Amino acid sequence: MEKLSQIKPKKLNNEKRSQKGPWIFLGFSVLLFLLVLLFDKEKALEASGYFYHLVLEILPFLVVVFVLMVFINLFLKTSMLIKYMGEGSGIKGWLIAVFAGILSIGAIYLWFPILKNMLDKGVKPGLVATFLYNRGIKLNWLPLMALYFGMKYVVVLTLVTVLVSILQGLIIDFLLVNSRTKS
Amino acid sequence: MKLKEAIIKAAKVLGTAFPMIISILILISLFNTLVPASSYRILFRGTVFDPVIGALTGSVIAGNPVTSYIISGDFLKQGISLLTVTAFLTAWVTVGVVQLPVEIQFLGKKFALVRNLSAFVLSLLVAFLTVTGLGVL
Repeated sequence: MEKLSQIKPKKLNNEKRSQKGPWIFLGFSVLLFLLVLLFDKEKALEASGYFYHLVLEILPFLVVVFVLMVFINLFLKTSMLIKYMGEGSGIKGWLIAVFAGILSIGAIYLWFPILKNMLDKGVKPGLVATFLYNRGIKLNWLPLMALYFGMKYVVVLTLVTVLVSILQGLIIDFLLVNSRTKS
Repeated sequence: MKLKEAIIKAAKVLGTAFPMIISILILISLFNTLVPASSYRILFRGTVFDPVIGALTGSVIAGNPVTSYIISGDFLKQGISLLTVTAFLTAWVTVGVVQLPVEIQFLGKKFALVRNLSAFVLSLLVAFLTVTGLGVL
C-alpha cells in the first residue's frame, strides 16, 4: 500500500510534465522565429508565408483525423484491434499495416495521436512502425516520381520499401516487445 | 463508447497535439526559408560516405516529397550517384528528425528513437537493394 502511494504522485508529476512539454516546445519555436525576425525581417516574412501555406494545407487533414479518431473510439473495439493487429495477428496484421500505410494521406505527425490510440488498444509496435514506413510510398506522387527517375526505378523502389518496412516492423518488435517482456 | 464521449476523447488528444503541430510547422517554415535547396549539393564529395550524408540530409529536412524529387533530379544532373540520391529520397520520407519531439510525445521515447534510427540505417539498405535490383533487371 505504501509503495502505491509513492508511485501515484510521481505518475501525476510525469503527466504534468508531458502536458507542459508541447507548450515549451511551441515557446521555443516561437522564440526561434522571433530571433529570425530580429535579425532578418525579410526571411521571417517569407517563413510566415510558408507557415500560412502549410496551415492551409493541413487544416482539411486535421478534420479528417478528428473524424477518424471519433470513429476509432466508437467502432474499433480493443478486442477487434488485437485480433487483426495484435500479438497473434500474423500475416494479416502485416498486410493491413502495409496497405494502410500506403493509402494513408496527410502529414505524418497528424497520424501520431491515432497511432497512440491504437498502441494503447494493443496493436503491435512493429505494425505501427511498418505503417509509418509505408507512408514513404506516396501513391499520388508516383507518376511525378516516374517522370524524374523512370517507371522501372519507381517499381523497384516501391517493392523494396514494402519489404524493408516489414523488416523494420520485425526489428521494432524484437527490440521493444522483447525488452518489455524481459523487464 | 457513446458519440459525445468519443468526440471529447478525440478532441482531448488533438488538443494535446495542437501546440506540437504548430511548432513543427514553424520549424519547417524557418528551415525551408533559411536553408535553400541549392545548398545541399555542396555536402557531397563523391566519396563512399555520400550515401550516409544523403540519408542524414534527407533525415533532417522535412517537407513535401515532391520537393525531394526536384532536389534529387538536380543531384543526379550534378553527377551525384543514384545510391546517394535513393538514400536521400528514402530518408526524407521515412526519418523525421524535425517531428521527433511530437513522435516522442505520442508514441514514447524508446519507440520514436528506435524507429527513426532503424529507418535511417534501413534507408541505406533500401538504396543498396534498389540500385542492385535495377542493375539486375
